[in-house]
Amino acid sequence: MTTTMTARPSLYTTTIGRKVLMAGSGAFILLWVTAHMLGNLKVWLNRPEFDSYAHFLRRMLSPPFPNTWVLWIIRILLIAAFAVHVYFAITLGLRSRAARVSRYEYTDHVQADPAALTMRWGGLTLAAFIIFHLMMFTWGWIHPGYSFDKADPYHNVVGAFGEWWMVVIYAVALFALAMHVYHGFWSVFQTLGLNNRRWDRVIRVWATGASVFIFLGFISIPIGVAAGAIS
Amino acid sequence: MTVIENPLAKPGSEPQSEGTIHITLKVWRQGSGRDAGRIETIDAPDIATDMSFLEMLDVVNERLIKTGGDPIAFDHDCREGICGSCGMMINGRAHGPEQATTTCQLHMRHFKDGETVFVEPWRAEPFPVIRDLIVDRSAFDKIIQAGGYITAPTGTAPEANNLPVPKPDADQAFEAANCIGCGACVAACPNASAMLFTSAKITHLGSLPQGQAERDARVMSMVAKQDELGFGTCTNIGECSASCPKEIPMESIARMNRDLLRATRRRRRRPGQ
Repeated sequence: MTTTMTARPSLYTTTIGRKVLMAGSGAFILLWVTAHMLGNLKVWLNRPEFDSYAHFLRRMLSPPFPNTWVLWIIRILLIAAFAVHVYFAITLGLRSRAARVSRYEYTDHVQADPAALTMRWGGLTLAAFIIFHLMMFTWGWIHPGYSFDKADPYHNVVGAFGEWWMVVIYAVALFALAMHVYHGFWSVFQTLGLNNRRWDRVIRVWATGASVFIFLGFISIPIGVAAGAIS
Repeated sequence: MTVIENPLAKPGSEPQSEGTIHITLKVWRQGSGRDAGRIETIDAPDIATDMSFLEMLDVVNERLIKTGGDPIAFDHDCREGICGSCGMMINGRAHGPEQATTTCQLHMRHFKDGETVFVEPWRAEPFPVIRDLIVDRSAFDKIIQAGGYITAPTGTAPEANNLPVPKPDADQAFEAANCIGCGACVAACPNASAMLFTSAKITHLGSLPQGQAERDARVMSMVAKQDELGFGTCTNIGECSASCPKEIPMESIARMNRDLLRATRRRRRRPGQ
């Protein structure tokens, strides 16, 4: 051998390895978001069903685990997943920026879909929304036109969407989420090397299904409240 | 101008010569890497629609020389779409508006009379501008040097049929080997990533029996080199493949990711390999 290939031992020193971490953390967050949406749909049943579900979240796997322990384990995993996802989104994004310092005078795209091109801005929108959402339903700092009651989640949901502009904020945020999920879902398969030309179409269809399902599931609640179906 | 009918043209195929068009070029002019560069407007009347884009630039350059101007510098070699030398951003698209077409194979009949055409060099930090539309693409050579080969003793050519290659593998390798290294993928990528180029070579060599011995080392080494050279990171947008004159598919990138993950796993299990 006249020349030798210098192999690096660690996966995560490569950009691909960091993308794998983004894909993994993104997939975990998506699973959590799906569970969050399915759980929230209980608000459509009735007040006791929804409240008992909310209380269940605090008592998961109790008595073997003390109350709220499992909830906190999930929260910590989720925070860790967000930290990884955001950290690599920023560092990889800055790297790509540095790779094209001088820009084109004329820009055009051949096929790039808006979801793929707005991952970074969409991600920022979602980060802002998540903080806003926690301020409403977890910490109870924002409660326009109703009093926040930590012990009465059903009341909080109904109160929150009494204002039309709140429904608009949620619709915009959920649209951003759907776009992010559409590209992210497909990207997980591509980044983990699970995609090929035969499966590409199928995975695109799944990605569309996942984003539409999540969008419709979540948006049904603010619309249901605004339309008076949930009261 | 007399228009000669092409007797082989099928009805409904490419439009035949309609004479000449008058276009306005907005060309990137840059004296050297240190020069800031700017867009220069050049009027280009009487451009025959039968010309290729490079022939149009030749005509424009002849006129510039005759009037004491500075000709536009651009890379070119074979002018038949196989060498990968030519390449420029034409109205924001790598190699212009036609799919699976290099700049030299792009004809002026695809432009409208009176159209303004922006012509810019590939833009990526690892591809510094040498002059006008010429960029230094030796970063690609460095990626190839990092592992884009099969180590073999030189000497007489081996008997071609000694090593059977299954047909689907041969087809896959051949499809990836179509890459001409023009750099359109990097230029078109919003992240200036070289993933499609690197993955084409990984797929080409990794599909063949001769490429197996160095498959793990190759992917790790080439990916590390591509990162080191400062290319951006893939966000799976797909502009690379859509702009590729040889239509290298996006699945090559998925395959490279898969190979890298597998190589890392194996290396952890058997260190020192």
